[in-house]
Amino acid sequence: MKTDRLIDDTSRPMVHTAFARVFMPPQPPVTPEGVDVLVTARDRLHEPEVIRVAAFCAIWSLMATGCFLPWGGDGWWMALRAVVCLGIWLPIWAVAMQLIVVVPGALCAALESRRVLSNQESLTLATALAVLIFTVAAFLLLASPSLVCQIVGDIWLFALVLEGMLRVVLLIGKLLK
Amino acid sequence: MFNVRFYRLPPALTVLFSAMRSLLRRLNVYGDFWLRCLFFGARVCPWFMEPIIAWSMGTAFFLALKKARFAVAANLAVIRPGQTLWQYVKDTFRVIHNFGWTLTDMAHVRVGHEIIDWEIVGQQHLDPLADSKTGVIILTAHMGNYDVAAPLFARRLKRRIHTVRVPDRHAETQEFMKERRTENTSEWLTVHYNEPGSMLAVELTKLLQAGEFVAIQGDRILFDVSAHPAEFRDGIEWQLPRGPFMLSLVARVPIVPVFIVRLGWRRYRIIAREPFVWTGDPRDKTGAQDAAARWWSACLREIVEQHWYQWFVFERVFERPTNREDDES
Repeated sequence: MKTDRLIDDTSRPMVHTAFARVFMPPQPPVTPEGVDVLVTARDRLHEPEVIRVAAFCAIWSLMATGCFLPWGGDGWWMALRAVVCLGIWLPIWAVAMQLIVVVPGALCAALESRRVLSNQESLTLATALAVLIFTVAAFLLLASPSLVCQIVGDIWLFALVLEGMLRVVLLIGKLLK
Repeated sequence: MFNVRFYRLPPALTVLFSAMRSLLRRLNVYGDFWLRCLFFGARVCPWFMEPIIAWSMGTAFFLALKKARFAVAANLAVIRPGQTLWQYVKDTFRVIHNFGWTLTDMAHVRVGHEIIDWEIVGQQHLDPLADSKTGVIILTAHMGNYDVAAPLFARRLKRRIHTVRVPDRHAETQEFMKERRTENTSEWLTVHYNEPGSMLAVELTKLLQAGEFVAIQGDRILFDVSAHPAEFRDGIEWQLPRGPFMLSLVARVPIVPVFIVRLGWRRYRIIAREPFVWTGDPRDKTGAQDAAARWWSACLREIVEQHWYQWFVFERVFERPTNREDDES
C-alpha cells in the first residue's frame, strides 16, 4: 500500500505525554529578560517533561534488565559485587538502549523507504515500539525476586495504564469540542 | 632467487583487507558512519530516548577520544583556572556532551524538523546589516549550532550569506555532509569549502566588494590556515585565524561578531556584538590586523569564559610565549 501523505499531524499527540497535557499544559512562549527577539519552533516540548520521562525510562530499564544479576553478599563482598555488576551491566545496558532505537527504527525506515508510512507515521510507530519494549521490561521487573524492583515495575504499569486512560479522555474531549 | 610474487596475497584476500580497511576508516571518529547513525536517529528516535542515547554516546566518545579530551581539559584549565581535577573531568564531559546535542539538533533541522526556538540578543547590531550598502564579515566561533543558525540569520536579514567551512577530513564524510547541506537549504545561504588551491580568498574578497555577507569561524586554526597570535590573558597567548582580518582590510568592510549558544533542550541564543571598523590609516596593514585581532580576542574571550561548556575546540589553543621562545631557542 502506498501513501502520498507525506505531511500529516496524526502523530502530533504522541509527541507530548497525556500526563504533561494535563499537568503541564503548553504555555505561551515568554521572551526572557534581555532577549530582543524570540523565534519559536512549530513543534515544542517541555524540557522538564523530556528530562523527567527520559530519566524515568533510563533508571527503570537499568533496574529491570539488571535485576537478575548476582547482587548481594555481605560487607565488602557486597560492595565489590555491586561495583562489578554495575561495571559489567552499564555498557550492556547502554548498547541495549541503542538497540531499542535501532531495531524498531530500521523497521520503520524500511517501511518509510517503501512509502508504506510517512515520516511522521514512522516516528509514531518507532515511539510505540519503544514503549512496548519498556513495557516488557516492566514485566521483567515484576518477575524479579526483589521487592524494590516489583514496586518500580508496578509504578510503570500503573503509569502506563493511567497514561492510556488520560489519552482516551483527551481524545474524547477533542472530538466533543 | 627471492620470489616476490610468492608473498603476494591472493586477490580475494586483498579485496577483503581493502574492504576491511575501508570499513574501519568509516568507523573512525571522523568517518561518515557516526554521522549516518546520527541522521538515522534524528528520523526515528523517540523524544524520550534522545537524552538517554545522547548521554550514553557522549560517554562512549568521551572515553574513546583521549586526545580531544586532554585538549579540552587543557583549554578549560586556562579558561577556568583553579578547579579540581574532578571538576575538569566533569567539565570536559559537559563540553563533549553538549557537542553531541548540537549535532543532534543539526541533524533534526537537516531532516526537516522545525523544532528549535531561537533567542536573539543584540538586535540593534543586526538591524543595520539588512540595509548595509557594503559587504559584511560575520565572525563567529565553533560553538552552539552555527551551521543551523546561518540560514535563519540570512532569512531574517534578507541578505545572501556565504559561509566558509573547512572540508571534512574523510572524503566519504565530506560527500555525505555536502549532500545533507544541500537538502533543506535556504536560498539565502551558500556554503564554500576552504580546499587547498581553491583561491577562496580572492573569491570572498570579490563577494564582499559586491556587497555580499561572508560568515567565517574565527577561533580555530585547522590545517594550513594562517594564524595571528593574540593575548588571551597576561602571559597566555592564543592563535586566531588571520584570514578574516585580512579580508576586512582588503575589502574595507566591517566585522560583526555573532555567537550561537545552546541554552537547553532545542533552544539557542544568537548573540550579536558591536561591529569592528578600522578607522586608522588604510595603508597600515599591520596596525589594522593587530587592532582587529585584539578586538576579536577580547570579544571571543568574554564569550568563551561565559559559555565555556559550548566552546567546541578539540585542539590545544593556548600557549605561553615564554615557552614558545624557549622552544624556538
